Amino acid sequence: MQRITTFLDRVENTTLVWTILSLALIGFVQVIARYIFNYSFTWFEELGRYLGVFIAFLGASIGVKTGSHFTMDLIVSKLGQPLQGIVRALTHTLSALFFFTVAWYSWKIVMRMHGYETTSPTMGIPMYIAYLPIPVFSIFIGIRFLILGSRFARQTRPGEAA
Amino acid sequence: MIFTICICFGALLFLGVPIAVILGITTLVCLVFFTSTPLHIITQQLFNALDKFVLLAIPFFILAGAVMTRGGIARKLVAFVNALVGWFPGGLAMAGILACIFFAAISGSSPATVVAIGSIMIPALIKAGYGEKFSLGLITVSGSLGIVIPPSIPMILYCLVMNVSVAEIFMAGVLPGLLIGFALMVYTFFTARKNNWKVSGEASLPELLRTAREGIWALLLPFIVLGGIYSGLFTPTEAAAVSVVYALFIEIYVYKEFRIRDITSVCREAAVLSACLLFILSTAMTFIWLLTAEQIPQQLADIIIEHINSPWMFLLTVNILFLILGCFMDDVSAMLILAPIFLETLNRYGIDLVHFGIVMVLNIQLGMLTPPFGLNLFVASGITREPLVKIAGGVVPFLGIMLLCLMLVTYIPWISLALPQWILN
Repeated sequence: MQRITTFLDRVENTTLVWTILSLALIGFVQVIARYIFNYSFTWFEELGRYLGVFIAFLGASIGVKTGSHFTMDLIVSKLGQPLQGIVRALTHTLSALFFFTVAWYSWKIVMRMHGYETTSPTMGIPMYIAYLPIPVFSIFIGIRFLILGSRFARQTRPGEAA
Repeated sequence: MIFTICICFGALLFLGVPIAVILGITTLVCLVFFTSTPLHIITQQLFNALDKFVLLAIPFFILAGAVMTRGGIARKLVAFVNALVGWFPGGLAMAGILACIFFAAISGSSPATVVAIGSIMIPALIKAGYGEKFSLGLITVSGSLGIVIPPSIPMILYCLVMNVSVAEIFMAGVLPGLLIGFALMVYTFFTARKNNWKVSGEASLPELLRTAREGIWALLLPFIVLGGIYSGLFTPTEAAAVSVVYALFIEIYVYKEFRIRDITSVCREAAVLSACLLFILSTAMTFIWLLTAEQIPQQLADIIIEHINSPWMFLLTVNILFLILGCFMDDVSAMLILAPIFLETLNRYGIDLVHFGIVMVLNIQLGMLTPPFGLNLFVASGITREPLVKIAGGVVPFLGIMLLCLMLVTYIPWISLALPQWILN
């Protein structure tokens, strides 16, 4: 289990970093191509915009695990133990519920787009693919919030408190 | 509805829910209870907020900053500025400020600037006898220029929520940044004279030329990035892409600071951080979409204009509001939410949006230097292993200068607007 999670983490991080870097590389090549070969990639802007959505949601999912989201937890971290664990377990469950709701409605949109077979203006890829990161990673984010929340809930039990 | 928003937002904030999630939940609650809009509109809005090409400049600039911080670019820069001004009274401190100004012109983040320059400069300053408190404070404060001097991540975020041109606001940040840098140098000069700090080296032309030759790749970067944007050679997003690729190339093949397989570990943290910024941007814009659809900025503008009769008073109120809000949330999030809410008010007062953006950025800068969310303080504490309280104490004498500069920039729009008007006309 431990090995699987470290493997998944590595896949996630590598994908995130290299998606950003590949886009930067294409951007760099595009600038050069425009001035030297007088040629520009019309598809780059669209690809960049859709991958922007992918980057934001993939990274937001990793960010839940690494605690990189901006949070005001000065007050909660001052609370005494059973109470703090309960509050954190509740807020994490609430956040998870929000992301599951988003995932559900986004999934409906994706299915509808799949049905209409709409495609993007320049690259011609199906539009539902551009939206797909939203439901997929919302589920991941929701699950991560639940895992963290249950960890806090366990801390409230005496004997296991860290 | 405004009441519900405030209660929901405030309660979740104090319970420690991430701000991006609070914005989402608040929007969802309002959609369910106050409108008949179908809920899948949230997905649509999250997508629309992120479906912008300019926004890619944020991860690019943050990654470029991470690469330059870890590699040799910062070190070569410090060596060069030290040869340039090190022989002045208080020279090493001057060099520290100048290095921060230079680094600010190639990176868009102020914590990155503190790490890059601070990890070399703070120990050097303390060793040269500049006093621990002064050295810690000076570099932590100078590093905050990272977001005032272009490129700047908060400026890009501001442009995204307010529909302002990135190139224009970048230009507007130059003079205020130099003003702050100059004010810090004047303060340093007099402090150095008062304390009789010794001069740490002598003027030497060969040394200057040697460091310039070694640092040439780093020194070229601001000219490539900013020159490229203003000559129309490339867009801000492309400039950001060029700066990541350039920085990686220099660090790997010229300075040989790390290898290709180290890239993922060097960039991982920065990549996650930039994605979290994009994410909060998307939920903030979804929230703003809801407020705008419900005419709340207009209602707010009516109330404000009725009670505050001049734009100057309004700007002062905004500055004070940000100082207070800075105690409850980080100022970047506060800007993302508040600036668009004030949009209507700004238009009615006739306040220039570029000027207001610079005022916002200076407020964020102050927020980065003051607890509880002063990111620069945390970062400086991280690299020096000194307690937070000590660093905050070192920053205090400089806060007066920063407040003075904030007031000057707020009340003399010319400082921000002169350069863009001159360049763009």
